[in-house]
Amino acid sequence: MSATRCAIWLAAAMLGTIPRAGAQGPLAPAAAPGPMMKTLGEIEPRTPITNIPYTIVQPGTYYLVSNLTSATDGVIIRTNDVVLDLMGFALAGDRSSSGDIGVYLEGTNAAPILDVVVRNGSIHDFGYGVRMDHSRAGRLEGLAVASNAFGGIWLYGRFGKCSGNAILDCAVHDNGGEGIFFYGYGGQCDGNVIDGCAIVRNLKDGVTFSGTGGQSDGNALLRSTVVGCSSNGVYLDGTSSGRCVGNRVADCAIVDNGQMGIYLNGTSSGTCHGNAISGCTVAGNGDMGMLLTTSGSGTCNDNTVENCVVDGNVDSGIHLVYARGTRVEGNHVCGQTGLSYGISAINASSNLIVRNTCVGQGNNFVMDPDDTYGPVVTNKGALPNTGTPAHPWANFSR
Amino acid sequence: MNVRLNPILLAAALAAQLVLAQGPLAPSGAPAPMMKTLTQVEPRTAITNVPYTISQPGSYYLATNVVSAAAGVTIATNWVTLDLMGFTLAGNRSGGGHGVWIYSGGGTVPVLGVTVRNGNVRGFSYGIQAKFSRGARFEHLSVSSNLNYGINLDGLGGACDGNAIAGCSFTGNGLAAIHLDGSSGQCNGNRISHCAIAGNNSDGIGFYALSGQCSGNLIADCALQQNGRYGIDFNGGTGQCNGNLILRCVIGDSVDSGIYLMGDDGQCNGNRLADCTLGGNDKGIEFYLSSASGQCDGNAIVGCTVGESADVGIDLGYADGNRVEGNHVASHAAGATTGIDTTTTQSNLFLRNFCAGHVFDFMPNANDTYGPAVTNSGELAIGGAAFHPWANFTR
Repeated sequence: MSATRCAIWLAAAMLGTIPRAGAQGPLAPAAAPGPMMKTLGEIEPRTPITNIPYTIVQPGTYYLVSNLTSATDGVIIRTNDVVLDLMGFALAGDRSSSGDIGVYLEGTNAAPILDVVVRNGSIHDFGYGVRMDHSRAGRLEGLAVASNAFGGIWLYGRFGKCSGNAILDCAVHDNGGEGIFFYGYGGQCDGNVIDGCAIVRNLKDGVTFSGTGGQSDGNALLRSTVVGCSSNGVYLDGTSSGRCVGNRVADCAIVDNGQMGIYLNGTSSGTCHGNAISGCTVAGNGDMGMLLTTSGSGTCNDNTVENCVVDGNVDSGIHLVYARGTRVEGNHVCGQTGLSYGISAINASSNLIVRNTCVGQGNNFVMDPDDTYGPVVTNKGALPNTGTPAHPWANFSR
Repeated sequence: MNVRLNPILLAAALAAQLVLAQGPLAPSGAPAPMMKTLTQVEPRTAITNVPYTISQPGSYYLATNVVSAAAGVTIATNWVTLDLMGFTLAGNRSGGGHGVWIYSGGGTVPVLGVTVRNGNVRGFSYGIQAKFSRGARFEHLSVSSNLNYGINLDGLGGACDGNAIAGCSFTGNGLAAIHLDGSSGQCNGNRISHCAIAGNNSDGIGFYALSGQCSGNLIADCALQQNGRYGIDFNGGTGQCNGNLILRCVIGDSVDSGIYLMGDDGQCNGNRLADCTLGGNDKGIEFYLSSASGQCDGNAIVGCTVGESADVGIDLGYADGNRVEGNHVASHAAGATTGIDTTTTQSNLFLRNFCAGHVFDFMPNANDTYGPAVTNSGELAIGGAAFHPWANFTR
């Protein structure tokens, strides 16, 4: 290549760079500069609550800015789609024993309250801590609901519906009535869940699913402690022409309550059917460990009690009265005091009682001849390969 | 139709309309606030230095990492939330105070409704000392390198009930990571869940009920590893540890037993241990009485996997009326003497367990009830012990 041609190529290459000068971009700015600052309203877009009583009538997100005290109600919510963050603060009543409410979801049957969340703080010293009237898909999270005169948390479906709500990771204690009460009178309180809660030292039941005169169906109490309440630990009340159907109590410690550990009641033309109790410890309660009962005019049928440890309650570990179609399986029942029955059935029929172990009661098994049950094996030592000790559905008594 | 417009009326109508469209000149009310104050944006009380004492209910937060040669934050009243905001509350390991100390200061008066969350507590005497707290919640904390307990729920002579410890991690604490003290009082109905507890110098979780109660507590979904004493320790000596639940925990490499129930002169009754995995502990699960003067009775151990224990897999001493069913107990470690061992017991039921690799897989007491031990290799026979529905298997 000649020097001339090289020069031409070099010039061409240099000329080729000329368009790159255009890569600097235009000198004129593309647009006005964007805002570099946020307003305080953008940083905290939620609505502060500075005084109570306070009524929320618009959907949105609200929060407390301090502890707040009221001689009447605390926060009343009359609309859907609300989040109320207590921000770690407390809503406090004056413990005047009136019926005032700390947080009141004031729905009606005609106008239920949908999708409300209340979280992160304490509600104390009202008449009731939280009342959710005709609430659907609400959530209570991380609350301490304590020292309220009449009750901790009420889900209220009277003559309407209170369904699909969740109570998660709450402490419910020292309330003057029930810790948590599902009220389905004349309506329904269905499909709600309580999970991961500590429910202690309330002056009535720890948890009541009340379907009396209505229904309280398909609710779940899971992975919670129910301890030291003055009446029953857990009460499924399907009395008075009401129903308590298809509820579940699982993996709970239900200990040292004043009356029954778990009580399923279908008396007075009521229905208490198809409930499942599993994997719980039921110990040291002031009356029976579990009572499943009805009278001639009601039914308490088709429930299951499985894999529970029932220890040190008074009179009976698991007692069935007029109950039918109950499956009692895989439970370990020991050391009941008083009349000292392990698993007993009176005027019952069609129940299936299999693979349970009862130890140390004066009467480990008292079956009704109309029930079906595995043979009661009392052997010591290695079980022989034949006869009742080799029965796959045997109950064991020691 | 001919319409004739009256120009005067038309003008008047137009004028009236124009005037009305202006609206009233007087404002309808005072202008609403258009701004938020900084207090409304962050209404909580900032803590910038420790020691700090909270004597009024409210919501507090750390604004920075803080260090103290004495106490950290003292909570002396009810209804308090303390958010560490991801910061660290640090002591200097002199033992001069607790990281968070919850106490009313008045005898056995309980402290209600306290929450502590979201940060690190290290280098104090106790990471958190919760004396007579009720319904408290400790969540998302890292509690490490404290001289004594990580968290102590203290019901000594009073009550410490219904508290929750959730989603926390613990390591390097000088004593138990979590200690519940119900001696001469009670520590009942507490929940511990989703915690990681590793490398503490004593128990992972310890319940101490000397002349008191630790009952109705629930431990679920926790991992406990390489703790210096027991993984989980229920000491019901002269008291009661009854009706507790241990579910789905993983407990490994404890210096002593993975799960230990002790009922000397007291009770450890009616507890349920289910679906736990225990590996590499000295003993996997141990019920201990030094004599027949106490009770470890009426408990259930079901569905657990107990592997590679250095000593016994499941050891019941003087314990009566327990149900041990459906467990997998296997160890080929040197010194792994026994799979399931009972000493001076009666009325226990051993059913449908599988033991493998020990010098003695099953050592039941003649006063217990147990399925036959099946040692067959190959296809199980249809008949005899191998066909027994309650058989225990040993290989």
